[in-house]
Amino acid sequence: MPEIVPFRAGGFAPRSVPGVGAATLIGLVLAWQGAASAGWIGSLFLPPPLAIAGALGHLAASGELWRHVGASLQRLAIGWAAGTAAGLVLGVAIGVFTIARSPGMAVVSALFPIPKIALVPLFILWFGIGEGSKIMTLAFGVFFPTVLTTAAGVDAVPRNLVRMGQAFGLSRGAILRHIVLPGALPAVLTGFRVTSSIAIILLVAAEMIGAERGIGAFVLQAGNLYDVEDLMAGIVVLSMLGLSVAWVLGRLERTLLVWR
Amino acid sequence: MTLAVSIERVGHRYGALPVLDDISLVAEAGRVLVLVGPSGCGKSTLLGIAAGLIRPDVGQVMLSGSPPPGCLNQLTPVFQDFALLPWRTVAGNVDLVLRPHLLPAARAERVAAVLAQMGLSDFASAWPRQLSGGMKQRVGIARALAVNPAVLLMDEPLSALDAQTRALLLDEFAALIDRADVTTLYVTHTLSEAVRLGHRIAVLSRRPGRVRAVFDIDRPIAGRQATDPDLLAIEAQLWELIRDDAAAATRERVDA
Repeated sequence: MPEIVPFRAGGFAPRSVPGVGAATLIGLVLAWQGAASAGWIGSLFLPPPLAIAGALGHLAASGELWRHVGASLQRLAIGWAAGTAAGLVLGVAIGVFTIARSPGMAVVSALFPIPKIALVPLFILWFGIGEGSKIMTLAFGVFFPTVLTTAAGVDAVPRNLVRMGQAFGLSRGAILRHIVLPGALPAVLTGFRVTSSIAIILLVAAEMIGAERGIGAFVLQAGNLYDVEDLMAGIVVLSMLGLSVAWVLGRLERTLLVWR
Repeated sequence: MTLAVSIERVGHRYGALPVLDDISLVAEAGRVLVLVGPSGCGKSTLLGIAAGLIRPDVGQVMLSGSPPPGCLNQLTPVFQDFALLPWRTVAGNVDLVLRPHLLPAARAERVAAVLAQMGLSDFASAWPRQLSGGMKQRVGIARALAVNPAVLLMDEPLSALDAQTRALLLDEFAALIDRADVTTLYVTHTLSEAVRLGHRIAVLSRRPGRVRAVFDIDRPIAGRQATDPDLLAIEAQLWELIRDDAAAATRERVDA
């Protein structure tokens, strides 16, 4: 009896479906609001989304929200940019130059595992209680993963492409600019996704020590007062910040890696 | 006129593994030297040494004569795996190798000319991922032609392609390299390619590669036919020389 050969090669090929991510988040928020309205979740322990939205509205109207968000964004931008710039330089150097590889990897391997939050008191001692210690905490936390992802990205550039450049007489600078750096870019951008999340975590931790402004300081203050609606409003702002950064990086990847 | 390439007593080893031993060969100016031999005999290593991309342990490679007028890169490779930059368009890949030598307007003109020569004008702004294997190798050839090379170093340029594309590109290669102003070193596994394109065919033994025999075919490449009895006879002789070594090389790989 002849049989139809069954198709057996499905699955193991996940793809992103447009709109489903946003719909999932909206669905979770609606379920949360529904559960709170039905009385299944006590508003003292977890305020409903509408109450959090109300708190956010008040904070925005009073200008308090923008003062905290502005201070945090400034620290995030400066700290992330400084750590990223330094990490890119050392990462490329480790990937390209023998003289930088062994010493660079030794230092990175020794310092990367240290929890950067543990260094905040030391940074306060070194750079003062003001902006310096907070920015350095972020920069230090971003620096090491940037070094590692950049060096790995440079290592992953096929060497036959470098040999092609050499065989056609391109200078070392041109090979770096036109072959090594573009080849490492996908790994570098993946690193940005990781370091932007690390930066937000460290931002909140650093702002919880000796800061008057910033989302971390606001969340800490709301927590001390058991003002759970303001506390959740601060957490929602952090989540929105993370989503915004991820969106910007996604756009950047689509623009810069259009060739893939 | 162009350059002649003399490979003089070249030897090389990878760690403890000797791959080339006392190789001396000459590619005369404007002629095609084909290297054939069993897998692992060091053909590609020898080509890399000739290109200045691998430093030989022993011996040297000498160039003599004068490069053709307008030559921008004397020793120019064509790669088996194309070596195209995936983040540059077809035109961008060709443009890159002209950057050290020409201003933007002259580069654009040269790029347009070689793309037209290789039938790639309509694909100038395509990404390499959008091209078939045959088209990618055309871009590789266009890039090589753009610098007006004195010596073309072709490392199995057709081996990654399907049989139909290979046959079509072989005809185009024959037309391109049958010029007085370019010397060609051509590595291949395919003996029919060797007799079709080579003025001189060097047979290397299995590892460590040594020159076992050299055949000269003193007739223009342009008129050669795949069914030519003389060429078929040379092809048969080549196979006689290589067969035992090829079988032994295959057994070595299986044993390993």
